[in-house]
Amino acid sequence: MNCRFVQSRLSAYVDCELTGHEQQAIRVHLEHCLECSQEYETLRKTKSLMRQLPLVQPTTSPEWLLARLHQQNGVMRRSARWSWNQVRWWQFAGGLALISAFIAWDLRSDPDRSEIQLTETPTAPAFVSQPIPNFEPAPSPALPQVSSSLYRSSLFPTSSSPYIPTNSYWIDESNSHIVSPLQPTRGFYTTFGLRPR
Amino acid sequence: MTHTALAQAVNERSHEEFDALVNRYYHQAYNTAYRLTGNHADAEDLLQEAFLRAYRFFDRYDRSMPFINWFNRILTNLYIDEYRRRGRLRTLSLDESYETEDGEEAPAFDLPDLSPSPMELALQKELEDAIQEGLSLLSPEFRVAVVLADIEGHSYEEIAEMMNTSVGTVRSRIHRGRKQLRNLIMKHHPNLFERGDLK
Repeated sequence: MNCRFVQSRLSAYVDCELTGHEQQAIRVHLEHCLECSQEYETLRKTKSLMRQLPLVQPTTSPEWLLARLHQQNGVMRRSARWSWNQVRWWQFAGGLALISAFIAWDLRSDPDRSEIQLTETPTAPAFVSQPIPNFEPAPSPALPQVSSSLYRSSLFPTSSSPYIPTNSYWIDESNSHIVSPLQPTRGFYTTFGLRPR
Repeated sequence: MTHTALAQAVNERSHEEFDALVNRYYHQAYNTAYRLTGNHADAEDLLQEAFLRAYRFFDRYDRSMPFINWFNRILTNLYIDEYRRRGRLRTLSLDESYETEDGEEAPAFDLPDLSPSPMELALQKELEDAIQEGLSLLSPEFRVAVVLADIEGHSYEEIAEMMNTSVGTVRSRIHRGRKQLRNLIMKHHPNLFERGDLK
């Protein structure tokens, strides 16, 4: 056991943190080595000085700290009061019922009303109000009886599927009425400003 | 008793337990925080933040270990993180020197005047200041290890658990930190280490 090995373990020796065998071997070495012995004494003295340090008197009290803690924790609790983790079941059920009622009301269509009365004359492009040449609108059996002065416009794309009603619109000459015979004019789509394609 | 009421009762009992632990260990924890930071203002901030974290995570506290060990783990980790984040104190080796504005080299550990107090100030107070100043010049890992071992009296295994490292690393940190501290004290109080005074 050389001096370098011993000196690297002197603090652990001071703290009695070595194994019994190592403690014994270093003790024997210190009895015969002046340099290691002096090193050991200074480290032991350093630890002794640290342990003699007086306990610092706090400038605050635990009551003050606890008051601060409860205050800060209260602020955190208030800010987290409406988090999703704290939503009660009846709050969730109430919200669900409200949404369901709104959808039920919205999907209820009014069959008597098939036209949207525009308060102002629409500013449609010029070609929309022009009759399409060489085109004879074939009356569909599903279409309601409308004025013969209406012309069919292909402003919106049509679907070729026979199961999906054509999305065609009838626009009269004065552009004051838009008639969509196959689509409900009131309901989910119109409420949300959407038109199905 | 409903589940909510039971949980609330447990919560209240937990709060009471935490308050009792704060009252019991406040002085000791303050002492550790002060020895780490070196001044009352930083010690209060550190202590408040550490207790706030302990309060938040009190449900994770394993009752099989002493509260002060669990708390010191929070305190020291918080201190090291804060030290690195702020970078307020530079860490220098004992042999390092720096260049002054005049171009001259000065030793890094030419400590400021440690005796601002009057002459009648007791030697104990001066020595305490010297030790505290020496502690503040250690790197945060060395300082934490030395404070936990020499002032708090924890074992190496407990310190390793608190600092989330191995016992071998703790042994090395304590040894190197203690040697640096010894050299600093010896520089200003060589009489303390004279042959006849090493008792």
